[in-house]
Amino acid sequence: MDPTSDFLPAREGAVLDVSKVQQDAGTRRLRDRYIATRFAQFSEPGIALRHTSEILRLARQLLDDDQARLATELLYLALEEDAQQRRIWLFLIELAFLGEDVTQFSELADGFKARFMMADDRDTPESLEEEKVVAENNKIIDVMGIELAPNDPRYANAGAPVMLPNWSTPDGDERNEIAQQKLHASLLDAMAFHVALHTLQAATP
Amino acid sequence: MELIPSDPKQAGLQMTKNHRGLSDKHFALEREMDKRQTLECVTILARALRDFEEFSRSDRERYLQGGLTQTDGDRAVCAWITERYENLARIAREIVPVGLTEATAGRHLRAPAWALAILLAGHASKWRKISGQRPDSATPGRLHQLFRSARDAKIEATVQSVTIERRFIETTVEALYVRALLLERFASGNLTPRRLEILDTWLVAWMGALWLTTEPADGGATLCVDTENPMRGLTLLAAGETAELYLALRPLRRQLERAVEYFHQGIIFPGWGIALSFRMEEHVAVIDFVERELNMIEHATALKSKRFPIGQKSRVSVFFGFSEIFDRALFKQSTVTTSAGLNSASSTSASASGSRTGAYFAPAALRFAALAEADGGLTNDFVRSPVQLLDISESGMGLEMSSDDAAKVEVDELVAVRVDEARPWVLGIVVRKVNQRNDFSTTVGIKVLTKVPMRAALELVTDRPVRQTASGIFVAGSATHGFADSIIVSDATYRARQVVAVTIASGHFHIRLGRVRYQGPGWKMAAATVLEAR
Repeated sequence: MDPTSDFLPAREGAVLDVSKVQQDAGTRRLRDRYIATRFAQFSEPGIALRHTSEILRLARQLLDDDQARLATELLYLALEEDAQQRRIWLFLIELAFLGEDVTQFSELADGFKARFMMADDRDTPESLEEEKVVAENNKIIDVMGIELAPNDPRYANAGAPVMLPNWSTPDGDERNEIAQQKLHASLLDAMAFHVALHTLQAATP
Repeated sequence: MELIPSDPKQAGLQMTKNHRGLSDKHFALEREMDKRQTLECVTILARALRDFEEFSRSDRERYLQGGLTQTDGDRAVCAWITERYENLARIAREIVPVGLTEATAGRHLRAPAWALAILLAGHASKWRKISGQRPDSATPGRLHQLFRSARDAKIEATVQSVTIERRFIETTVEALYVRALLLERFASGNLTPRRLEILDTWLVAWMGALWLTTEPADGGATLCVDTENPMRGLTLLAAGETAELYLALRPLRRQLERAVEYFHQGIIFPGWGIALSFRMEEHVAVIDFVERELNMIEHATALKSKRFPIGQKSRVSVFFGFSEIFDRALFKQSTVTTSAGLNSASSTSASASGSRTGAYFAPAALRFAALAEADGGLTNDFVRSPVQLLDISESGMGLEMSSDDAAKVEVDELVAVRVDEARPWVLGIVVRKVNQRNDFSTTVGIKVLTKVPMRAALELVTDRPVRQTASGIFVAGSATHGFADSIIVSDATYRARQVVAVTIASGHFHIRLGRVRYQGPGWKMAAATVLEAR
């Protein structure tokens, strides 16, 4: 991916307005058809867009293809389906940070905090664990924020610099960088051999 | 223009006496124009345009909805529609007042004449392309002349009301001018008639964002226009150059995002027009197209690299369709083979390509002999006439085929072309077809996917003891990380969402068929994600 490319398209208005997702059958069907056409692997977009890990993986692939705008669109579509997909928010926040898009970053960061910080009614061990994770996410977001917008009071309490969290590279065993490079190298070898063979053939009377 | 005679036995559109009657009405109307004042002429002509659009609406819809198979009647009606728009555009140009300045009294009252003339110039230009005719080289000059005279009269920014597809739209002469120039620029690419209609509807909906400036915008991509140059419309601004007027593209980008928002909400943008009934694939293709064009302009890189015309058209071998390419074009090619090494339940399994499997590992003499059997002039059986190479660039090429042969080829079809006997087949996608003036030949535009496609015999990895084989063609991406590498497979193979096993050079790989990067009739080009390698 070209690190200098602008990762996020400017989006007018609010970062996410879930009310925009129409629920009547006609518009729902058109929306699904649009998604299925734009992202050819989704036969049932309403379901597929709620599979967080699948969406993250696909968004990563799109970034690998230099299709940052399409990746961003996919992530937003997933949030429109289910705005509780925390890792998708984080993916988008990291993209905005990498793209140095201050406006987008701030809108996403605010949206993330507003959605995930209301923890008054959480008291199960799972939710407490989740709360800890979110708090950690927020710390990192603040550090990113202060780097992007040093004068923004929202990030005034940011802690010490941290390593980039790599939220835009999903976990999982399906992203084997060394193996992928090996495939690429093997392909190049095979192609070079093939071209050489053709050249040899042409040179032979 | 001479109309093509229609054959009444063929289904489809037909020229009728009503069509001819409307032409006669326009002829009579034109003769009346000399006797009337500008405003009266504008009113009459605007009404004539509305009547014509109402009359031709079903013809236009049916023509655009039609597939690649067109009857003589379809073509005749389309040519008639184009001719009518051109005729009305000419009449409109002639009623535009000459020599008005900002000191001319009542000049604003006459502004609708410019609006109508430029609107019709845009319509005519669009329908020339829809009917498969080459762009009229005089169009940019005419548009510039109209816009210059509007500027002289200082009415280019006066708000006008025009009727487009039954809708009253408030706009300016300037926005109509930019819409016509953008149509000229974008429509010179690979847009099919349906997609061109969609794009035009969008441009009309975006007219509020189409304005020119005398200074380039701060940051962001910009196109420019020189109204004194009759040969050129909107062009890229070369580094260090200045221009007369500039068009910032950031507002267009925002408009595109707005259109995408509509689709997210399940609404076909902009919610009106003939294009409303087109399939979703057409709308999405236009989104892709506009994004690609804007990216190309924004990055000012050579996505559309320079084309080199072939002086003496040279005959080339060509195959269309995934199966034909795999089985016949790449038949003699060294084959990337099925894996036998990774947890394989079928280390002795039969291969997809029978005796050809393992050719990559065969002795060089055998491989050489196999290649030597490849012959020039190979084509699918349905290609009856020779195929000629017209031009070529790093990213694309143009072929000339007989129209009969080309009618059997779809846009988005996979194509393999052998340009040079000393080079491997070039693999690409058909992105456009344009009928030539003589109607016997068709230019087929091709986007190159790879210059060295690698035929692969795949094995579908499942839990079953006997594995199925499948055909694939590897397309290596340019990125060294390898995540841009792809495999082209049949729809059926992709639908199975299989993990496939393959051996390439000395490596054995289990690969998951991932995101679809391109697709066409019966095939998909999917991201090749390596799960395991040895």
